[in-house]
Amino acid sequence: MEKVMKCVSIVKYILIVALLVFIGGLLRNGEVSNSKISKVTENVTKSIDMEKLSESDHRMVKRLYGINANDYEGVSLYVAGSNMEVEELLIVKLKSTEQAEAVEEAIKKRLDKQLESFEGYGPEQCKLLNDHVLDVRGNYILYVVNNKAKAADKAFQKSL
Amino acid sequence: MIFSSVFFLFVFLPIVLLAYFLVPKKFKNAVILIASLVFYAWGEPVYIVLMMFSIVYNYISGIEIDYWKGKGRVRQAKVTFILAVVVNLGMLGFFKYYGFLLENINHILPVDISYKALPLPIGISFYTFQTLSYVIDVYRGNVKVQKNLLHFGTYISMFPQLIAGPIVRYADVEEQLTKRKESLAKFGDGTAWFLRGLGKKVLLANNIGMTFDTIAAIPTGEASVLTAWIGCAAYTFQIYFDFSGYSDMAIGLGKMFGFEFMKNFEYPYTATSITDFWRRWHISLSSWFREYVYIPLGGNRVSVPKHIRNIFVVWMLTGLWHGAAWNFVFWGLYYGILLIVEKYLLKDILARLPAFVKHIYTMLLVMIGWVFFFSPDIGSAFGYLGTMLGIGANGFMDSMAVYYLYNNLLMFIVLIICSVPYTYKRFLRLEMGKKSYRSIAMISYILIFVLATACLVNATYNPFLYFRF
Repeated sequence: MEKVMKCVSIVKYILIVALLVFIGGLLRNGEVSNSKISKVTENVTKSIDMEKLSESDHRMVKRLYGINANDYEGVSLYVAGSNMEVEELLIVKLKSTEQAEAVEEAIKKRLDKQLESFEGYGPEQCKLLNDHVLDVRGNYILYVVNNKAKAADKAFQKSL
Repeated sequence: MIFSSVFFLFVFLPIVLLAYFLVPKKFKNAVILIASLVFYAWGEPVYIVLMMFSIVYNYISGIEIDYWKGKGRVRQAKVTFILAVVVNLGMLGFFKYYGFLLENINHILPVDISYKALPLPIGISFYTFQTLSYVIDVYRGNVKVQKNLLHFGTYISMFPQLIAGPIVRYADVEEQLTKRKESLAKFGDGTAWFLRGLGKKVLLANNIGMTFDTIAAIPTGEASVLTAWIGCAAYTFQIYFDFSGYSDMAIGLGKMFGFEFMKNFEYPYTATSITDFWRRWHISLSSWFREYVYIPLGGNRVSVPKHIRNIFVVWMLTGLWHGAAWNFVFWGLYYGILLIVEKYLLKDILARLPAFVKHIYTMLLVMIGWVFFFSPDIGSAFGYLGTMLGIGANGFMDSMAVYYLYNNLLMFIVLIICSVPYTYKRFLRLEMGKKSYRSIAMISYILIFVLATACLVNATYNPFLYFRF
């Protein structure tokens, strides 16, 4: 019986090693970034044309996207001053990657609403909206409507 | 997967119940185990590995401890026990506190250690405490070792209380794992518990939560004193109905499968002191800390300084258990201080005060406590408290405050009514009363279900507040 117990004990140690390997794998492949949202926002805003954009508060996040900024690690929102402009920049740092789906959904709703508003009479705005970038990377989400949207995405990815 | 979702209510639960009641008795635990693993994997496909590790590792540890103890090899049993505690706490500590620890090291020391913060596995704080209760009780000889891996796996992963409690101690369900009895009456009782919980979460917590979210989004300096108090009151009700709603659903589901779980709430907002409040709030967590930390440290049967130390240790751990952030530690210590003050300074004074004064005193302190709980950091918490006290506030009352008060007055009245035992006792009389009364109770439950479903169909993902712990 003692031999059996020793075997059981060995299995236990193998399990601990397997757990450590699993955690190591998670750390290696983990997509979650601990970069500060202020730093990511700074890098992204430097990469695009910010002339028409100005920073908005949490109430605007709620109004435009229907999400509560306090539910997330951090939210940065920049919107155009005029209703006739569609430039927009949203960066969300999630508390958990599980939140990604809901935020993505909210962004798509906002995009559809904007497209609906400009359809038929705002071809330039529609083009910008159609060329938007929506990038979900682990615990970070970027949504940008700007003629330099791709550059913004590059800066975003580099900052994580 | 969450209980308050259309998929759970209309697909997952009916299938599991059907399978559970169709299979012979010896396969019932297997149905619960498989369903629980699917339930967990639904939201955490990667972290299911941790859950399986936890089941197998603690199962083996329990057998080993029991074997060495039986052989009289106390030292060997102790080593196995300590290793099990270290592994369980190490796993919880790593996933919950590793990012927090490194962040603080980076702040305090002139270093910049880069790290990848991993997302917190859902429910890890709850199931780790359950595995610990098992290992400790086997080591102490309080429970028999569980030699059936299926039964043990069922205990650890049981989906009704897997994600947000109540924290079920092994000793409390040991017998039920093999000898529980399902019955139609128990199933009906469980359904009623579940529906009450669903109503609390979807109809009450989610609705008042919207008010809190809107107020919390107001930048500091723009909210008036009254708005800040309305926001705080909204959160006070949201967290109670959210968490107790989840617990009621868990207890109800347990009953449907023949289990009896302990009550997790006992009308905490009717408490007349902070000590009383903690006898009524998250009872399973308080009991766990009392049993496995407070009493082993000596409890209150020690000198006054040691007793104070014991209270502080327990409350710092309670704070940390809730989250890897300083505001939670502060929140825990806040309650530690309040409990010490009540025990050593206010006990006699409180005893002489009229009940309504004691009630106001308790609720004020509880609401202040929630500010530390809902704030993202300590600085924001003090900023919000400042607004509640008029420091940096946009006047005492503004149009916004009137708007929130006017729009939520009815809701607040409903929430207060639902927070006291009188309402439930009256309702229970309907359930147990004449046939016509019972019909009213039945219609009420159907109404809760229909209204909650209608809300859920249009709602976005709305998890329980305690999922983050």
